[in-house]
Amino acid sequence: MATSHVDVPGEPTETGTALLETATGTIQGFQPINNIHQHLCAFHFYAHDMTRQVEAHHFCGHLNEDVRQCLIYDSPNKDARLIGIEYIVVESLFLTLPDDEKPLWHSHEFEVKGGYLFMPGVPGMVERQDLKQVCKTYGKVIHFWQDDRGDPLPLGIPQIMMALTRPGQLDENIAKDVEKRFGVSFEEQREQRKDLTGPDHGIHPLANAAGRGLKTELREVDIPPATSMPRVFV
Amino acid sequence: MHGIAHVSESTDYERTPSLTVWNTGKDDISLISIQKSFKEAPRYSCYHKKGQKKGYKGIHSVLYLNRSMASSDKKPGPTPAIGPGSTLPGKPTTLGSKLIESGAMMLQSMAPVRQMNLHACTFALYGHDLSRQIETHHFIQRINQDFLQCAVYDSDKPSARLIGVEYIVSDNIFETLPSEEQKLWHSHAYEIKTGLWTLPGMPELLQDPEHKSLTKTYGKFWCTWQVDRGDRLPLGAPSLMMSAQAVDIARVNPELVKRRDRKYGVSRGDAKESRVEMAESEWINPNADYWKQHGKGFAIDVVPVEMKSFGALI
Repeated sequence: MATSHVDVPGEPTETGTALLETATGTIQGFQPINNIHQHLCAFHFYAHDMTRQVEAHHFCGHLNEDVRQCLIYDSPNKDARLIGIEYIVVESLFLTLPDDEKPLWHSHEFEVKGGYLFMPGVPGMVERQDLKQVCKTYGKVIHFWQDDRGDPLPLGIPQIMMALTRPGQLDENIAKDVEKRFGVSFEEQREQRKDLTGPDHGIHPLANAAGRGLKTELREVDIPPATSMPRVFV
Repeated sequence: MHGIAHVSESTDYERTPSLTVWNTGKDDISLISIQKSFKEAPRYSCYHKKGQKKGYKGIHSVLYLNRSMASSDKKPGPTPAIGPGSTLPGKPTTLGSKLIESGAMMLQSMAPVRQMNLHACTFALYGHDLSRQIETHHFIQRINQDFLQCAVYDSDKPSARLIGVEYIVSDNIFETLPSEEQKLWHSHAYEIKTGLWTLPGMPELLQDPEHKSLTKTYGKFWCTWQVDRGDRLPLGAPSLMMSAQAVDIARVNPELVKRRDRKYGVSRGDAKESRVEMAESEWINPNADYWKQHGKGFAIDVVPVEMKSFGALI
């Protein structure tokens, strides 16, 4: 369940550090973060393992009308962990991606029309204005922290994630838990979203890992040898 | 296994039309992608041998996937999604979208995002090619005295592109990690002591306490958008990034540093003096900055596998 997670190891923040960071918080500029205006909740699963499903809280901003970028957290709370990133593009931009890139992206039509993707706290009518657009987009999600297996730290290599594409994929317990905590009903949303439509050309056959699975692997590459002239300062 | 037959293909992707025919392995169906010009996205059509046209909805999984496609260290194939200047494609944000965002802002709590209260500007090197160096803007949240999480952007303007995530741990935590994990991390002592890492807008002396604690930390930074390569959209697998070190091949290009310092009014003299006194960790774990001792960097490949599932994916 996403309501609690394994604690991150470490000592509590020292007073001096906390004070300093309160100061930086007021003095410095945070424009890229201030551009984040929207909270979306959805579900991801690992591109190599549909049985491992994760509740994903997206905090999104528009780079322009056609491209959004999102920080993904494991909860909408103050102590949430930053677990991944999603990029969202409209269909016309998705089509410009190289064909070996397209499988890393997933379609949004099913999870939007199915009611599984929602904006917590926003009334359905307002939500649907935006979901009308999101329904036609494609997303690329990468997770860095496998909190679903209880990792207390972001271990291992990045994971490509996929989104719901057919009925019956989402675990019942996860679905019910989210519906309860956020006071939503996916079935009700499904009814209200009947008139939404997906990408104009249909879902591209290469999207959603072209129907197969994807796994990331680490490979060593040669780096030219460091010269033997150590420097202490630039 | 399906093959690819190129009927004709342009090498100058930007100017000439290209036509690619994908053999689906079913005799009577071919998937054809036609791109008339650079400005137009490819159109896909499915043709029966008898010339009857169908939409691509009728196709099952038609293409085989190459191993190591989209690897973090390989340049992607020709695409309008890479170009000089790496300008972002797409239309300007509409008023409608802005209104929706304003509505959302009033009704929703952005609690996790509000926790970031530190902005650092530094430089990072690609772990598979140390000569590629980028200026990065970290927006940082401290979870506890030993752990921080950072959203990394390519600038500090509202138009900044989200290019990755970095996690920072203290040396105490780092020592508890398995050695296979430690190889993915880099040390921070050098970049902090030399003033490559700075907190824009903060007087140098005020930066000291933060730097004292960060000098002994290690970071793990995955870059998801290779903007320096000209990628207009985030392409490929994430890249593992490394930090500047006191050896020639990992020294940040002085021009990059000068430009950054001018922009933020950083005086190199100030930074070096106040930070020289900082107790440097006497020992940096040799598993970190793995390339230094082992001459090996890391790349990420994306490989097709049979997904563990309880039903079809598409």
